[in-house]
Amino acid sequence: MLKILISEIMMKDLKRFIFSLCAVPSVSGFESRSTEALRSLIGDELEFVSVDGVGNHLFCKRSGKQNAPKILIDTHFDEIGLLVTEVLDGGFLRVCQMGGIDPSIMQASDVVIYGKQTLRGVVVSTPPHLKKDSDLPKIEEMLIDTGLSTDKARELIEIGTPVGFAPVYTELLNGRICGKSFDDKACAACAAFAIVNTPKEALAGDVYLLLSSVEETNRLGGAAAGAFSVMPDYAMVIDVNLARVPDTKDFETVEMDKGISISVSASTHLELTRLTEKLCVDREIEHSMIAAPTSTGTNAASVNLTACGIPTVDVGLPLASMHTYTEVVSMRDCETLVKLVGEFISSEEIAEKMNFSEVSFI
Amino acid sequence: MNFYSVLKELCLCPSVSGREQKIREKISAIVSPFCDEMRTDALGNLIAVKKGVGGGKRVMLAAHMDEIGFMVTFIEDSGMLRVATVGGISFTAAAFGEVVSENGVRGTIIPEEKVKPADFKADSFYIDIGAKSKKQAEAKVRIGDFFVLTPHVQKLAGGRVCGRPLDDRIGCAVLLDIAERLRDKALDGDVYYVFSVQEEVGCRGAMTAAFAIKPDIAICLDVTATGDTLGASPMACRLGDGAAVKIKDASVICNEEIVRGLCETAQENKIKYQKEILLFGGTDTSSMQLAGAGAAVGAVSIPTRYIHSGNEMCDLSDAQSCAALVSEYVKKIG
Repeated sequence: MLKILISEIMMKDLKRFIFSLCAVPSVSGFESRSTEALRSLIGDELEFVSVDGVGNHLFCKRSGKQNAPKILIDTHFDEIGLLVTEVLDGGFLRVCQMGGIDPSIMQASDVVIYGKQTLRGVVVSTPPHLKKDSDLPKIEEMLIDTGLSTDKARELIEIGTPVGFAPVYTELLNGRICGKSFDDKACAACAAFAIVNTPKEALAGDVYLLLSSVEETNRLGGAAAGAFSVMPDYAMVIDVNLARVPDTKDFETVEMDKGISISVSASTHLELTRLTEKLCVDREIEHSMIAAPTSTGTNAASVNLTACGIPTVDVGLPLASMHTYTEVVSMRDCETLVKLVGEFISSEEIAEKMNFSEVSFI
Repeated sequence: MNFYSVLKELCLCPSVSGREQKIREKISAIVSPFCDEMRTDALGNLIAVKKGVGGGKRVMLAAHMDEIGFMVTFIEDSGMLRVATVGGISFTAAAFGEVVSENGVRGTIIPEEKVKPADFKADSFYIDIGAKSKKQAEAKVRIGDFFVLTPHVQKLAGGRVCGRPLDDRIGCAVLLDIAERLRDKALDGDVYYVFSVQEEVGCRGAMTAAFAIKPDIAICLDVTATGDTLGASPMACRLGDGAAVKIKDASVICNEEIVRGLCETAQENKIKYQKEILLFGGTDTSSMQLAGAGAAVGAVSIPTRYIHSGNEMCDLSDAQSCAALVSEYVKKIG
């Protein structure tokens, strides 16, 4: 009963749901440790299908229609983090990175160590008084201070223990929110929120929500295996996109508070992309078109090539300070994303045109 | 079919990776009398099927329809277009070249002032379509639009042709020629003529097509480099020396039995051939080999000089050898 209550409250408050989902630990490669937490958060609002061998979590909402097409919405659930490589005397840890982390954000950061117990730690920072030069050490050369004795540290923390950044969430002015692992869990939250809040009768097909694994650390991402097991008729991949700030180049970034982006790319389906663009125009959903020529650099590239090929559209949520613990997104853009996902899974036009099971024969 | 006129028609139809619709329509029209069924899959691969009478091997023959090009990523206030590359563009070959968009907008591709040729990369190039402002440019071009170096083909001395994009429209023309040669030949197994998409961005289309077809034997028709130009890296492959039977390239080692079968077929039918070992570059061969549960693969290549430049060069007699060799080989095994 409590479980249902939590999810019922969550699904009425997008911001709270984003914060809650982002707080579920999911260092790349260790996603399946959080199955219970994830299930209790989403509750019975969506049918839980499976957690597979590569750590993908699959949820479903069925339309109840006969011969309904399968629509896949993919967002990756893993987050960047660290992995313990050595437990040193004095309770210090050596780590390596899981996913792309800039060493300059590491020193003095708060971390959570997911050992036999969940522990806190801090990354040791050399005081300026002791620094000989300004060279930044590599992540592999940095230390995490656990405060534990040598014996206790070795008892609780094994080599191979995942370490994540501590979840601290802040609301900025003008609807901006700040925290960690918005990449890509803010998108995951928006997608889940949209699917839950779209009435079953409105769905154009059975909707599969894939919270995929290892996007940050594996060339194909867990989405390749996830898409193969769903074998959908068409798919939308949602990931974060680089937001424009004063020091970035205009042609490499997208503006915040101006809605979501849709990629034009060789690695996505052109017709589905244009249909999604049209949907945005028709339903007044704020969007911009961006060029991602050879590849989107997201799961779209691998989902698109799964099996006989799955028509895929790539959608981006603008995010500033990507791959830090103070990533920033705009709630306005998040709401736009929710609207787009809701319209996309309800679009009869897209369902009708993305039907490749009846290909034309002469 | 008239090989040269088909080749020319295919070359003059810009279709960059991910945007192959126009060339697919042209090829569909040409191949339809040579096959029993046609379908286009989700990625845009054109799959034409010649049905067998039953019991034979499933043979997949593939040539890629796409070509390298540029995608517009941003429109500057000045009306100049920022671009990114699609596929392996040589910027020294592209600099100051004529370009045309998929919608027929003409322009020229220019390196920024003071950038030295050694530092050429996509960031330092822009397309000038003559627009006076961003607004004027936006009326002609959208973000995501493709440009190519303006296509052209002409005949040179000695039965050679020069232009672009011979990679791989000449392979498509050879595949069409093969389909015509096999049209009236009753074979046991099905033959699948696949005109694949997105080869230039990582051999993608052939992978999903092969997954759908599950061929026993797959043969790729693509261009290969030669060692017969001034300053070329050593390579025992020459323009005019016949169909190149691929032993390996950087992406694949071909099935030994297929290599032997192709060479024997060439000898039996007195078809001019040579062996090809390409030390760089990949082809759809590798994707077909690894799709699904895998297939035995080979490739017959058309020797080509100056690949990925604005002036690629082939010998039409080599293309004819390729068509003859593959059609005879399929007759033998099919």
